[in-house]
Amino acid sequence: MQRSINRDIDTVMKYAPDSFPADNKAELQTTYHRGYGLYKATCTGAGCHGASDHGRDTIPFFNLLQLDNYEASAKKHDPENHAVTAKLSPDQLSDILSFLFLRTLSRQVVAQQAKDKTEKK
Amino acid sequence: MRLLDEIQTAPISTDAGLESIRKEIAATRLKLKAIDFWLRYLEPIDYKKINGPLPVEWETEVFEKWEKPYKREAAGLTLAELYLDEEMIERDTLLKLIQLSIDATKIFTADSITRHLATPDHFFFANRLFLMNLATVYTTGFECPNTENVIPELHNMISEVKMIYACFNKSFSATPLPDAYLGLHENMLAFVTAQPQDFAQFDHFTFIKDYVNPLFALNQQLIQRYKVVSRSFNDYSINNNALSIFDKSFYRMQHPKGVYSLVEDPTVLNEIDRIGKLLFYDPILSTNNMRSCASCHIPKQYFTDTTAQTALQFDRQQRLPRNTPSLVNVIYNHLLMLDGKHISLQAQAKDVISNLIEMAGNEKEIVAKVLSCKEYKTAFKKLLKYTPGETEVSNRHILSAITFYYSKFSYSVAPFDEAMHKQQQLDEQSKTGFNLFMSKAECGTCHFVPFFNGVKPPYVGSEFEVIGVPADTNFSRISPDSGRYKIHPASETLNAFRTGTVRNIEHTKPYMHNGIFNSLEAVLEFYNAGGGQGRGLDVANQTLSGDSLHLTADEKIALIAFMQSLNEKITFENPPPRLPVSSNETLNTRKVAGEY
Repeated sequence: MQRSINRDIDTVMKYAPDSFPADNKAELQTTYHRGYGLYKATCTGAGCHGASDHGRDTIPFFNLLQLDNYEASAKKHDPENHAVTAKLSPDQLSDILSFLFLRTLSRQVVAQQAKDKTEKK
Repeated sequence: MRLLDEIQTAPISTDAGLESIRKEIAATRLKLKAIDFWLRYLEPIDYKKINGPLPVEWETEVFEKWEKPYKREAAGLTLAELYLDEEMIERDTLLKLIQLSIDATKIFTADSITRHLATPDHFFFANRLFLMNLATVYTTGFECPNTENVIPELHNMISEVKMIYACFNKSFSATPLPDAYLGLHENMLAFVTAQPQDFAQFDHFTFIKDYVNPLFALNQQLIQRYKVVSRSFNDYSINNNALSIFDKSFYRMQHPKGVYSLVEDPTVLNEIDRIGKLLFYDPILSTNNMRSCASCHIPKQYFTDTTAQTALQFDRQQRLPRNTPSLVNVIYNHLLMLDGKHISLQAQAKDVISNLIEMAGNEKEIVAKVLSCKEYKTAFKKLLKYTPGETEVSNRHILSAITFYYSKFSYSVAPFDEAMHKQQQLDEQSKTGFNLFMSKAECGTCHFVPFFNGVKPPYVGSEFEVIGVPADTNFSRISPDSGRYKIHPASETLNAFRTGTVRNIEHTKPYMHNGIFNSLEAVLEFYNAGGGQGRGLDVANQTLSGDSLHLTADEKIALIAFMQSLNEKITFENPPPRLPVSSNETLNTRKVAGEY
């Protein structure tokens, strides 16, 4: 998983603007790792969103609308859905969502790269 | 529509014309109050168009505190009534205020949330909000400028809600309001009927203690018994398990644990608390290793400094522009600092520690210095396993331990709370003071029950007020601090400050953002005179009335007695006897709590 995280970060960074400072990359990596750790600890219980299966990453790629809606309900302490988030501090919730956002973004970047390649051919 | 007709036809340039409009507004208000139970619950934001208390409010709601403040422009009956007091009255402006109000009612008809009323669930949450507003808003004149109407409107609401209750029990017979509830409600109505119509003479204390709060408890029990589920964000700010409005767990508050949010084990929490306490007293967090949190937030002085108007700056020469606020009960604010700059306790602590004129700490250096102490290093390393995703000890761990430590002093209750819980009697003078607080003295319209701070029930946002605090006690000019304006520039936010709590106020002098007043008597005099405006200062956007409150000497004494009844029974601890030893010898001369 660790390698997968670093790969995601690298993928996103390729598309980052030139002005994006290296320090921010380090910060991004820290947030991403933290978000992953928190996700694993709080979101992968029985019947919830799995983190790995036989060593393979099985975290869903939530689309941005899903993440946005989830963020809204979690911040509003929706007890019906994902009560565990009520325990999290705002910063921790933000870390998890950043991780999921970045993960989705990396997949979009990969898809875009593949599309670009096909079009070139 | 009758009101619109009246405005269109009445001769508004005459006193008689204005009086007839006032009467029609009063009659419309009574009708509005009869359905307030639903309107306020279903769409609290749009309700501001129907009966908003202020023309413009910049709001940062609890659930959207990550966003920039929203501008809410109000309309409706309260503003129309206030407009009638202006010197120049234009019929069109008056009509617009009422027309906006009528338009807003259409939103309720169209709103999707109304379909939820097909189940019994939302009734109990609407009822909870109604009961809460009985204690906090409806009786204070918050949105009823003609205070002669406060109690008649209250009576009307309590009377009309009986019809809602009857309809509910008929429609949802499997989850009824029990006889015990209905009987107590009937008694409440009888109580209000027997009370004087003047809200200054109304017994707010008994009303809340004997009727509103017990009804609130019954409603909460019903929410639990019927396993009522809400799908409305409006309901999530109140804890379903709190059986009293005066329970300290009433609102969902700040997160004191920070990165340790998932820790439940008392032994581990004790360790976080122990480390947090050491750090609170440790000047290692400042660049010169001479200033700690406890330098200004002195624990035995209710975590403030009662000896200085404002604290010294880092340079030991100048003074800070603002008074040190108490950290007791700070967890019940949804925006922090007097200007509402921060949304989390940890962000607030980080700001103070890194602020160049306060502690001037550098984040990386702080972590290195803290970890140079074996005691800290061992403790934080052991605690690391409780913070998933954190691979090494960081500033976040340090800040979270500190906020967890000082927050534990916010859970104590005051004699006033115990009286509300019928665990002890409150003396007559304090009761009189509370009744004045909620009426003639107009305190309760900004310092809301139950925390007596600016958090608007039901924990929807923080109020910022412009009261015209002077720069000096001669009232030569207004304080130059622009307050909320620095964070969010708008004409309404100039010189506005977050309303602080009245809890423990006797022990947290000096008062106001700049610590200008040193006694509660001086504060009361200031309010009694009508704030800065009342003392002749030019405060164009003052949110406090510039008129005198006409409080008598006895009334002021009673108000202070009430405030004293809000002194919480807190057991403060002694400072740690020593600080952790560092491997860096130069750090081992630092003193517990710092040097200035």
